[in-house]
Amino acid sequence: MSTRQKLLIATLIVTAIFGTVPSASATSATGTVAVTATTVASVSLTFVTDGAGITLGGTGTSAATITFGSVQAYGGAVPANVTKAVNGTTNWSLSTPFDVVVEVANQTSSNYTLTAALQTADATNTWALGATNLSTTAATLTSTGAYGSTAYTFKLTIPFSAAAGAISNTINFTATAN
Amino acid sequence: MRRSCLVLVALLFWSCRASAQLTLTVAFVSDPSGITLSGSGTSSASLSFGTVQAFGGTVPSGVTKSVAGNSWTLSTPFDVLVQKGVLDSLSANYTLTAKLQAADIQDTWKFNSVVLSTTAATITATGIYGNTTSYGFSLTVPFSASAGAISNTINFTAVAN
Repeated sequence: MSTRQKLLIATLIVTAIFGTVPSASATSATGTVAVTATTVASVSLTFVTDGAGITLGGTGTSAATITFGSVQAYGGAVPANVTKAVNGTTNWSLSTPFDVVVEVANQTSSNYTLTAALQTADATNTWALGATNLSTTAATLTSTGAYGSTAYTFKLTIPFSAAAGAISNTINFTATAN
Repeated sequence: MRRSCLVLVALLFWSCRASAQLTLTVAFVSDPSGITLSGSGTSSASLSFGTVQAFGGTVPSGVTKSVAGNSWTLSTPFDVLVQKGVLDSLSANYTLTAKLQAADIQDTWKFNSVVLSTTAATITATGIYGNTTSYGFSLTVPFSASAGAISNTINFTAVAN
């Protein structure tokens, strides 16, 4: 085999292995990732401490708590931003505002309906949100609620005739997009 | 001469057989802390969030949902593995780009914090071969968007530097 032939063979071998010079012709690769999701409409209902109200436990969530602590009709103290009122010799009340925040996602809705109901019947005390007295039957607080934050004043009225002791209940809210 | 030709043919045959390693390969792999990719380990994977909602509901394991302002976001990492072949033996690293296959003027698609569009965006210009690299992917859906199916494909290209 001549030198020329050997050189040719060597060139072909190198070409076979390396093809083209990488820097002169960079290779590439492609790949794909297909992404899918199915979104459904949803409504959010959360409770937030009002600037003029009692500090909520669990503010910013959908399961908040209000604790008045130990309170009495005459004398004593009430938590900050809680108003106590004595109604003659009939009853006394504690009231405080808190914010109801309703948001909607992925649904065309101009407003919402908000209802509230006591979880447990209370034949002694009166529970009210704004001007609406609550019972275990859902009461409509608004049927044209504007999305965002709305302050509601909660009021608990206790008759003088009621025995002293613990009072507790839960208010169940439901917001429905219209 | 005949022996040399046989060697050459053998080399060519070897090159062809090893075609998967001749040039770059790109593969997508489920990240240990991310959603499970369908087709993990291949160059054609799929990622399904299933049925999801801004408020309440559940998201698949490895997916994080966040709600902020007027939108909500699903995010999850997945890994990209680029390996070089014989032809890239002199390449020190690679450039990875990504783009959406179809335009989406409603939702926001991000990969490695880079907003994706139908124009290729550089994810990295110094990718390390053989390194399974985790990248964050996120899909942001505005509250104002109608409910329904969302689908798109992210096209990736790795180029040897």
